Amino acid sequence: MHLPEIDKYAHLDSPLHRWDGRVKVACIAALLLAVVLAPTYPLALAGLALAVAMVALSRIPATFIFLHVRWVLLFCLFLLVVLPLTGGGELLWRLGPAGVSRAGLSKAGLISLRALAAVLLIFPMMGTARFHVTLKALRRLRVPSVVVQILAFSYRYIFVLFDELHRMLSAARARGHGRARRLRMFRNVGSMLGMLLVRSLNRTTRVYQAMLSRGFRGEMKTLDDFHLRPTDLVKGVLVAGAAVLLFTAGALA
Amino acid sequence: MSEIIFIENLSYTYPDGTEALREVSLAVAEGERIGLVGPNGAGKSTLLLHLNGLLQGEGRIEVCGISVTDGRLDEVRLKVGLVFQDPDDQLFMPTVFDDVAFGPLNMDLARPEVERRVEQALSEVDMLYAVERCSHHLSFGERKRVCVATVLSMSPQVLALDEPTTNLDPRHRRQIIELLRQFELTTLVASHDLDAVLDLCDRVVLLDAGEVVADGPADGILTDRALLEAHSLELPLSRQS
Amino acid sequence: MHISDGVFRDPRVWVSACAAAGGLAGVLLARMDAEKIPRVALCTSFFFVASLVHVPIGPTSVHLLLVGLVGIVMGRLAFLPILFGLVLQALLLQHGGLTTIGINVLTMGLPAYGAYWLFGLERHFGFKAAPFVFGFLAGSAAVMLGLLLLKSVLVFADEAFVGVAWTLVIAHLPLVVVEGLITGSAGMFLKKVEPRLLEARGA
Ligand SMILES: Nc1ncnc2c1ncn2[C@@H]1O[C@H](COP(=O)(O)OP(=O)(O)O)[C@@H](O)[C@H]1O
Ligand SMILES: [Mg+2]
Repeated sequence: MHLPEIDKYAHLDSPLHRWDGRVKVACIAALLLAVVLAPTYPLALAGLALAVAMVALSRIPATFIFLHVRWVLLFCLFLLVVLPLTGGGELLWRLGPAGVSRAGLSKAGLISLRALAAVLLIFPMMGTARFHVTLKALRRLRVPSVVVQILAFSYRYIFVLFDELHRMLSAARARGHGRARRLRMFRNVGSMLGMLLVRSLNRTTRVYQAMLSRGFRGEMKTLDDFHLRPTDLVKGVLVAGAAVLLFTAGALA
Repeated sequence: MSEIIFIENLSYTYPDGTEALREVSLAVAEGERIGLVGPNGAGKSTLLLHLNGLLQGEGRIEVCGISVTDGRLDEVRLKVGLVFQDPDDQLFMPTVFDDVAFGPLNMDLARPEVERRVEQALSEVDMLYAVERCSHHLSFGERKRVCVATVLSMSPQVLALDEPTTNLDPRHRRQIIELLRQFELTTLVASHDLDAVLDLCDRVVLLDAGEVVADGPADGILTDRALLEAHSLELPLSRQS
Repeated sequence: MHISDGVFRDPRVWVSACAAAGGLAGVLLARMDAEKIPRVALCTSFFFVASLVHVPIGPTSVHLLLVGLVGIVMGRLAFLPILFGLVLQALLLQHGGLTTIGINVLTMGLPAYGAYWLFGLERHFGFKAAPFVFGFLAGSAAVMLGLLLLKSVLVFADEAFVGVAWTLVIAHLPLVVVEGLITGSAGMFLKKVEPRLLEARGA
């Protein structure tokens, strides 16, 4: 178990770190969309190249990235194995009763390229500013206030609940449940999560009281520090331009 | 002497039927520091929640001459700053700055004023260095102090704290006691840390099973072994000799 | 069960899923009191943190989903914590995708309502283990239903995904049992310790 720390490298300095959060999120999201829509290998490769370039520009260490994309890599690996074996159509190689389908392999490859490019773009988008700053940028991009509020609170309490769960798990291990029989383990994990849930939901009343007692009347207000400079727009034009190019090329293909 | 808090025959029953307060009456003068003591479940926290109208029982309750009823809760909440027992309940925003600015922003103050108040409140609790930090990266003692700042930034007339010293190590406990001693605000401290109450308060109200069983000078009540033991409390360590 | 970005050739699949999920979330949020914000948020954190727990199954391990449990305690609002939880998983852990949020939340969020309904039947049965039995049914049915929905979506989107879809279903069968056991125990715990939470859920 480890904590989400996508903004672990938000303190670094790079053109992406210095980029205004609103423009950054909007433009990279546009690029992500264009990448996901890429219909051919050359375009998907171009998208991947752009994503890799932006990750490199962000200076976020490669080991960190690798650790974080493992879910997507696993998913791609799964497709790369299963799709060719079940794809049908023309076979590249025969393997006993089954075979490696050309269409299946090609489709799995294309999907993997797009998936990888998309997930890599999350790092320059989310990893180059503190998460709460990005949330404020989302608010300024007209994401509804209640959505941003819920995301901000959830983010805050992830850390609290994580610590609580961690304490419960270590306590359970200390009592020797660690090596108990499997069924028993599931029961213990179940009660522990039940306990975590009870505590969390009981906390909600107190959190709401704490909000009310500081004058909350249904609308959350925050201050932010976004200033648009010419360089922000130049970067925006570059990235959004790449997105539009990629998208148009895809639509024509 | 002008009364800043006036409570008369306040009773409260939780929806599940627990009678948490019974006919509580209490008057607090401006500038007083009062310790609200009693065993667990005595009703201390329940009483504090009434000061902000977060719970509303039967009886009369006034803060700064304003009656705590539905129409005027916004005003009352500006007057009484409530510090909850668990800092993780009170610090719900992602960063210290956002948490301390939450109250002032709800007061519709202009940005420079909000920033000034945040800075001042944090420096009063010696936490200015953490203004940009995330609450979850602070120690328990630091979070406790930030909680005090989140209400100081609203310039309240009354500070009400629920168990300010529980779960603190001796050094941080000392720190928060010293901090509270400096303030000249009217202060209510609900606690079963009788040593802290003895250090901080001039007057003590002893609550048990939702009733006020004693009300008087701290020196008198907190040295009365028989009274304290009758209500499952022990003499403060400094008085055990 | 988290589908990554870039899987679907035809964007209409994920665009319409996102629109449907957004519409449902919009209706739920518009009708929700501000008072419920902390409840949805804390439940989102719970969903997120619970998904960090890995339980060993044979040679590998799976991470928990617990959509059934979320459904049981959140009732009508269950869709929201699952939606926000998936958004945070995609943004913070790179688990799942952004354009596939719609598909992921529909396949996991709708079964949560089934779990809510199933667990509600427990009231009509007085025996001691009823919360466990119905919790088990709710927890495993939610995962099973989610898998079947996902299978239909995949096959509907692209005939070539038939093999992938079935492999996914079969690979997740152990999770169906594990989620059942864990949701059952959690249901038992909730019923014993805080039955109030289960009564307040619809409101
Ligand atoms: N939300 C609640 N619902 C029902 N009963 C409660 C609730 N909160 C507190 N109580 C009960 O009310 C009584 C007073 O509690 P509380 O004010 O928290 O006491 P104290 O702060 O002095 O320990 C206790 O018996 C407690 O169990
Ligand atoms: Mg208390």
